[in-house]
Amino acid sequence: MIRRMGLYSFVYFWLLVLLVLPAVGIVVGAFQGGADQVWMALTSPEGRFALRLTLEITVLTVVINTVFGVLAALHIARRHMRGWRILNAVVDLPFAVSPVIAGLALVLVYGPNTFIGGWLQAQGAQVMFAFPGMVLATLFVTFPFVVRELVPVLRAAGVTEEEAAFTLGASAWRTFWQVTFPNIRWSLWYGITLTIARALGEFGAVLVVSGSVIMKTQTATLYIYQATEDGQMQVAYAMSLLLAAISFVILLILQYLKKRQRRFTA
Amino acid sequence: MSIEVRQVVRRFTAETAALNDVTFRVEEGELIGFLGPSGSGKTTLLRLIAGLDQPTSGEIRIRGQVVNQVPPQRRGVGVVFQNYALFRHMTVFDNIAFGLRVQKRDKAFIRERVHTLLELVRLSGLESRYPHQLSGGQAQRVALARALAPEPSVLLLDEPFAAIDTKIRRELRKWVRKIHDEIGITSIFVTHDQEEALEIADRVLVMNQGRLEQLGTPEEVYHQPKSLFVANFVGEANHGQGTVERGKLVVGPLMFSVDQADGAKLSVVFRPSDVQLSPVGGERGNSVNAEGEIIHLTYKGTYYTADVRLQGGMQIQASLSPDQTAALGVGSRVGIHVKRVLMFDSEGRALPTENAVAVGAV
Ligand SMILES: Nc1ncnc2c1ncn2[C@@H]1O[C@H](COP(=O)(O)OP(=O)(O)O)[C@@H](O)[C@H]1O
Ligand SMILES: [Mg+2]
Repeated sequence: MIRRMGLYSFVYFWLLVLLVLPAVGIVVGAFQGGADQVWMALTSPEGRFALRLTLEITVLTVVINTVFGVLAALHIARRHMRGWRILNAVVDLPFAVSPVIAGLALVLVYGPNTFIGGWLQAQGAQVMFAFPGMVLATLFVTFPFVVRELVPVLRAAGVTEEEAAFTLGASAWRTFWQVTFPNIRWSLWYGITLTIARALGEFGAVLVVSGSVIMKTQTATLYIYQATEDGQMQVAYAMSLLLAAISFVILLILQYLKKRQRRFTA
Repeated sequence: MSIEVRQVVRRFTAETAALNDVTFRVEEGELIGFLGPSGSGKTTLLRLIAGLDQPTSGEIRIRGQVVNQVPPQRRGVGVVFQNYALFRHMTVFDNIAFGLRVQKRDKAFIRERVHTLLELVRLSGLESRYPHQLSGGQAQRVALARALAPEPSVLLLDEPFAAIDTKIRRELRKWVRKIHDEIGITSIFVTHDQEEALEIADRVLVMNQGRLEQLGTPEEVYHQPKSLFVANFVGEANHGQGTVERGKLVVGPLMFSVDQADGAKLSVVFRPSDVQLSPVGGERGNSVNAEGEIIHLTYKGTYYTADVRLQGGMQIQASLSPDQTAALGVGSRVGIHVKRVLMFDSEGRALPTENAVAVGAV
């Protein structure tokens, strides 16, 4: 009994060291110069630009990865074509590969000095060290979230409801929206929320493909990094606090979604 | 509508065929029972007719038209699935209305039709329930109403009552027959329960390992099975084997006179209801073929089944009426007379049996 209490206390101590103290640290750090300092750091032109860029990248990433994620998950779960095993294995690649390496790989393929990148640049489309490259990098690191959430629910739901809809005359499109989608809805929201969280916080891959040019390719996380490099800890803490607050809200949303998901599958 | 299946083969793997050269025809307005053990290809055949799966080769026709290329949406085939397959996030009302909404019927029409169907399946008042709030029998009836709503010309039911208790099941089955007769729809009812098939169907199609064994009326498949498999699968059966010698086939202590050449290996099947038991000790008439001892009696509701051990150890089953149990019980010595017997060659094909008579004890 005593030993068990000791073990549990250790868990709480560990939580304190690992999570609580750093969180408190950020809040204290951000507000040590007063609330208006925080406000100024976030509303400076550079800060506002970084936030908007992060938002744009996140929105695009969510839209694209939701569409492709649902398609990929359907393909894997339904095993309609031979390639599903390959796709299933490849989906996890972004989890296994360090984001920095992912970013480098993108530079190697789409960088200005490569065949594809060179051709694209000749057409007037700069991919690397520009907005498209940053979106690509974010898409890459967040690709597994939606797919991994959906495949198990799709498998568990099976195809008989869809087949019933077909025999009742419903088209594939109608069947997806009225039969399949309601069954996977909460898991899809969950996957999208994870995607948002990761897109907001992505650093390594975006750093490599962006070059972190102020007011041009600097996202919120790159902005924090830059600020610490420049010794402007106040600014770094302020932006960190904002991102952490958003993460906290996302965490609450995830908890809610998980409950809905469970209630639904039960 | 008539359904024709011609030389249909369906392979899931290269080695085995889930359906192997199946050919038959269902007439308009008929109720056909697909009967076969689990894994015999019943569901596969149903899915091909519904258009949910494609045959490897062969042709399927509905109202005379080849439908191989027609998607399930345009076949006019209603399906009641083995596991209900109700739309779990929709109410009973929305489930039944689904096919009508696809047809873009107007609201008043949909409401009226759904309520008519709910009455038909005796579920009025449950329209706002969700599938998980229904019992198995209720869910199955919703599935039936949903399938009937768009007025299909063919109705397919895949083991619809497999998961429901015997009593309710018998009721539901009678009632499916009634609905079938009222609507006059061509129906196929899949089951692995021979009693169910014999009771409900105009004709029964018996399947085994992807092959069609026999298509006939319940009387035909019961009394004139075309194969050893059908004889054993449909109804209770005593089963033995022997080799013909000088026009006689000897199976344990039983002897049958047959029309087959000496040396032929044959199987015999006779129903417990075709075995007559009589007390031993009285006059031993010509009709007694062998003697044995009752070792067990099982009460079946309106009659008894006796397990009888013959001389030499062979065991058979015989039906006993309750009257007979006054004179006969466990331990009684009995004379056995086999009134009717079915014969099959070594490949399991039925042989003419007019001349096959049980002739006496060995
Ligand atoms: N989708 C499938 N993939 C591979 N094999 C299948 C598939 N569906 C059915 N089978 C096989 O085909 C055979 C017939 O199955 P089925 O039609 O479901 O039998 P039944 O309905 O009579 O129990 C079985 O051996 C089964 O394993
Ligand atoms: Mg089946």
